[in-house]
Amino acid sequence: MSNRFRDGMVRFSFLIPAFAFFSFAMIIPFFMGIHVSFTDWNGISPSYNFVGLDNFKKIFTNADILKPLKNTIYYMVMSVIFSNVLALLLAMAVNRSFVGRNLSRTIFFLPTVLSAVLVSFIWGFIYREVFRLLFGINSLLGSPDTVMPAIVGIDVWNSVGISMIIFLSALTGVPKDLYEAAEVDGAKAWQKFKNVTVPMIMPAITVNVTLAITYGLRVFTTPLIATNGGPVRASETIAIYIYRNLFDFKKAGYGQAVSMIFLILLVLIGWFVSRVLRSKEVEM
Amino acid sequence: MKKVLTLTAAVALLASVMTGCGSAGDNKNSEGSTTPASNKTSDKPITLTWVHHFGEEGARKWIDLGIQEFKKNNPNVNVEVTATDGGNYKTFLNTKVAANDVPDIYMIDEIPGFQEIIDAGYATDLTGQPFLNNISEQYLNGVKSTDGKIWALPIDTNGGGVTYNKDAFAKAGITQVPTTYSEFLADCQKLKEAGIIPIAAGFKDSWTINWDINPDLLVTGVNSDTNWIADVEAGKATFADNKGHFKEVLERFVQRLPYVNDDPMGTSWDKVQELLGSGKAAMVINGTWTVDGAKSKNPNANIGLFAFPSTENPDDAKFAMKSTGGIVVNPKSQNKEAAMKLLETFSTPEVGKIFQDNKKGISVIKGLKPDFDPTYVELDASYLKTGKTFDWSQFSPNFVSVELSNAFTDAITSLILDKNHDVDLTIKTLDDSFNNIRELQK
Repeated sequence: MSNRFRDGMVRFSFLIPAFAFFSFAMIIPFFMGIHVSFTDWNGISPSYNFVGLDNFKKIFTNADILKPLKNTIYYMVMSVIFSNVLALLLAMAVNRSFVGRNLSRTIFFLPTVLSAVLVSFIWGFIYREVFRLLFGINSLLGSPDTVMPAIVGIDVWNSVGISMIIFLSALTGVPKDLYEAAEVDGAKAWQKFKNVTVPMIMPAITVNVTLAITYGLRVFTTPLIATNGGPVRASETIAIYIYRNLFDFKKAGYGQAVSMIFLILLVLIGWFVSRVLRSKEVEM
Repeated sequence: MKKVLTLTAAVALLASVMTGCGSAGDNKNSEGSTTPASNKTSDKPITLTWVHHFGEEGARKWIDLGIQEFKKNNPNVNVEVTATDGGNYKTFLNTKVAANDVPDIYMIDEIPGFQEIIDAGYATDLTGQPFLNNISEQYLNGVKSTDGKIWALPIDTNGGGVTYNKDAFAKAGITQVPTTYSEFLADCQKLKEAGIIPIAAGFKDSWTINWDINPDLLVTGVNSDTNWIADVEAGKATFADNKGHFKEVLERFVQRLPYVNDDPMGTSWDKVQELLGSGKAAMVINGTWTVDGAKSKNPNANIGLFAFPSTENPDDAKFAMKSTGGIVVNPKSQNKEAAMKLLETFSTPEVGKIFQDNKKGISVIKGLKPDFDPTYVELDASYLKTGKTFDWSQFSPNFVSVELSNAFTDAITSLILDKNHDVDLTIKTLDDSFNNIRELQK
């Protein structure tokens, strides 16, 4: 047995516990549920009929799905932009040395430890009561025009800490001499950022952007708790749409079919994005 | 290697979207596990699970105190109560069914809307149970399926109407409750001029939108066609047919909108109870449970009830009362016997009195007087005893299909959000969206 093969096996063995749990909780149930997408099962009754590809045909002929699709894409684009830009700015800020640096790191990270459910309740209250007192405006969650930005705001607040930590760990790994060399060459702050920082932290950008995209596309908890997808479906995402069909509308077969297509899309998008971003990384 | 790892991690994250869907279809094996465990030994500790959707403090107190009463005779039984949100209750129950995790005891609001859960075998047939003798005969109608079987222990008789703060009315110089629709609007104007919110609306909780129109919808429907909702649901009629005079109901709803509080879409039901209890708002159009809600927020609130006057004829202003739904025992529960005993406790006059004193509602248990609260003494005297009430057990204002029911609420929400409050457009939207969901069979 070659050493390389042995090393590979040792590394792989570290993955076994996680993989076993993942199979048990995700992969196995997923395969057990595939057949449902070819049936007219209502989600409760013990019997159902096979209907072939009818459910999949319905997805592409049903105008009903367009609204949640639009909301999901909007949410994904906005949260990718805002959570990453904000996280990078925060990370660069707390990467400098100043009094209270550790305290500010903790404060920026703190919202992340709260559950999305709790955060949705807190922000629901803030939008309803506090914003009303401070700015005299109606709850942003109550109008179809403002509900999506308001929900993006809640989630960015909730998740920016994690992205910040990932950026921060990448920033601390950038060698100081690269900046010194750039300064000697006469680089300004923006040029240093563009030509030294960004390429050096590209792996962190890959992780953060990929995570934000995939999380953004399957967002469920925040809109469900904050608005229940309302008002008038203005914050209904694909994940909520699937959930509604599975459990509310007694269309488990259709819901399962949507989630299958959705899963395939998510895997493709995640794979494509991380591939494109990986190609931009520099090896040290 | 790096790439493979990233991809694995990505797939891991993505696949979590599927979590909700995996357990579909495996609840067929559950039959085997339902053989009742031999828990005849009454000292064996048992935990019962009970899920309800009461949002008012008084109702929760009734459940807690009733359970204490039950534990006096059954010290080994522990009852775990979970309260959920009323708007999502049916979904919640459906997910429990799908996950094969139905609680031992739960509530249903009405038989038709929960028929599928009954058909799937998650409700115990209570017909002939001795404890049902404690319940007034007439109130068992609301828990019977069409074949006459009884599926739930009814709790209270409740109704739809206007709950009002008497002090707020006095402050605006209103001495008598309105009995015609034009009087109602004139009173709204007087209240507004006196700086009081005439009608509190908490449309953030979408079920309150339905209940804001229900008192009107019920009395108008009962006076015209009690089948119109069922006909629309079945595709035998359209909203444009206007068989239940629903268009007029919506027109009156729109006329009331200028008198509701600011930002109704951002206001919660909880806040509404507070506004009414404190007298900042004068009226809430909803169900009789609003009395409990307002008094929980302010025990000294001077609260009254009156029938929603939808016409110009004072004789039409009748109070909508009924008893539907109640407590259900899951027959697949391991502790069915203990659950039935709990039901027995909750059908005793003692617990009925606890209900009336705390929940501030009229219990269906025989031999109890509505003397628990001045609001109900008045309701009893001015509506129930004088016959100015009607029973709507047989006329559900709800659509059975959640999809239709959501489309209905969405259309009314759009009507609220639409600056022009265009009723004709709403009727058209309703018909269009209903036709997309179910087939029109006319």
